[in-house]
Amino acid sequence: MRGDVLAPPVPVPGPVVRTVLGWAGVVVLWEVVARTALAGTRLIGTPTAMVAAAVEHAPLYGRALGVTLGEAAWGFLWGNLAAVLLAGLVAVLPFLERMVLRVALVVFCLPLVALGPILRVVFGFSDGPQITLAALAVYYTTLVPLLVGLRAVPAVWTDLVASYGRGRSSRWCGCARGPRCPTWRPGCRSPSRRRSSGRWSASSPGPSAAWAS
Amino acid sequence: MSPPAERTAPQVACAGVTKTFDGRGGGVQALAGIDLVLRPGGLTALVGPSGCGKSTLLRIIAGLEQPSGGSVLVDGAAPGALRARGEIAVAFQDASLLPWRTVEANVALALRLARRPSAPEKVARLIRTVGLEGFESARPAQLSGGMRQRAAIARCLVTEPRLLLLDEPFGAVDELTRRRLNLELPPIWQGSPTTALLVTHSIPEAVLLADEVIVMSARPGRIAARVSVDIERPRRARHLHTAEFHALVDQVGDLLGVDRDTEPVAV
Ligand SMILES: Nc1ncnc2c1ncn2[C@@H]1O[C@H](COP(=O)(O)OP(=O)(O)OP(=O)(O)O)[C@@H](O)[C@H]1O
Ligand SMILES: [Mg+2]
Repeated sequence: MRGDVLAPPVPVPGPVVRTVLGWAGVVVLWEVVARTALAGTRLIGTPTAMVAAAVEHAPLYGRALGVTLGEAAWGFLWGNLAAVLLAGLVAVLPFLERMVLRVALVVFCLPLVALGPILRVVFGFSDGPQITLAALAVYYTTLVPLLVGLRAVPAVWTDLVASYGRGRSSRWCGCARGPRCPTWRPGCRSPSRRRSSGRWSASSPGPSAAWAS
Repeated sequence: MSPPAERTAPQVACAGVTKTFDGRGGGVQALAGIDLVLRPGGLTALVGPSGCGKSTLLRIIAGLEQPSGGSVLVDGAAPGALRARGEIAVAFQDASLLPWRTVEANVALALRLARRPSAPEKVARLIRTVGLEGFESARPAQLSGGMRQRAAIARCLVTEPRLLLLDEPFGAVDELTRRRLNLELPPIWQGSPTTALLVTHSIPEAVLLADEVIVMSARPGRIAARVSVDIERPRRARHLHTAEFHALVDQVGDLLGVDRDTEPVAV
């Protein structure tokens, strides 16, 4: 009796199958809508047309993607490096925290669209602006959790390190490691997410070339 | 490093130490004119009502806090000199184990911080002495409060400090274990030239361990009385039952009680 109630009459597909079916449904719906209701409006392309274009211009897209990912990776590296160095500075000279955070926030909030042309003038024709923008997109989200993690270090731990005659820098290495790391990891986010929005494609030849084509 | 100094227990002298913490309402005076000399090579116990500045005084002696007035001299110099050589160990009132390290690694951390060579056998021996055998690889979160305190004591002793500052090290330990540690731990450092200061709320513990008991008055902390304890060493459980011991416990208790009556703590 119980078994009858609990056993489903129709086997339910597993979670992976359900996910695949769901996405396939969305793509089919997209294709159908683009070909019927929105046909001729040039509002959205169909998935099949996009795949065809991607295959046809594979070398171009591949090159653009490589450039974008490369710049994003450099930006990620520089942005996180800057955040770690700034947090280290604050750890050694805590009175700098307010200033560092404020300047960091202001720089982070500058509209990227406005920064792009300035960086282009500063860097000339190079990858500099793209890498800088990618770095700017990530450093703040690393810096803030790092500082929060540092502040979470209980005073008694720093006292402990100090009681053995060690300075501020070993406090940073010795006891900040624990609370710092868990908050740091989610702070490192991908700069390419920002990039793919195409918000500042005007100032970045790599993806904009791919976008325009 | 500095050979002659290492063989003698450090002289610790506080002269007219005052401490006022700045605060919004004008600040808190924690200590008012403390004159104190710790017995070199002995153990001085500090008792007094909660909030009278015992921890503050201990931190000042460790050089972790600067006095507002007066001076603290350890072997004639600021405490920083001894601290820089890694020859001070402090058992803090709050648990200070690093939660991501095992008990063993927490104890060994002191050696690293004091720039000493690692000594796994000594670490293991001390962990056994404080009764944490079998918990070497446990994290602090897996221990009880008293077990954590015992691990912290092991960490304090592993560097063989010349100045040992213990701030209520057995506060969360049960009575029986506390008595056992009271009897077993002091011999570990009493063979070596170590000057020790023990802050405690337990009068019997103070009398059992100390060569001198300092009684502090309520805030702002002053030294209300000094009681010399001349019970022979090594001290054993049987000393707890002597008339001499009970007389001293009563004497310190009276001194604390009298003080509470004359200087009530403002609420
Ligand atoms: N960092 C601080 N800032 C401000 N006031 C402080 C600080 N540390 C201690 N005090 C004040 O100094 C006084 C003495 O504190 P302390 O911790 O030395 O007391 P204590 O004798 O160790 O008490 P207990 O027995 O409860 O541990 C208290 O009134 C406390 O409020
Ligand atoms: Mg205290």
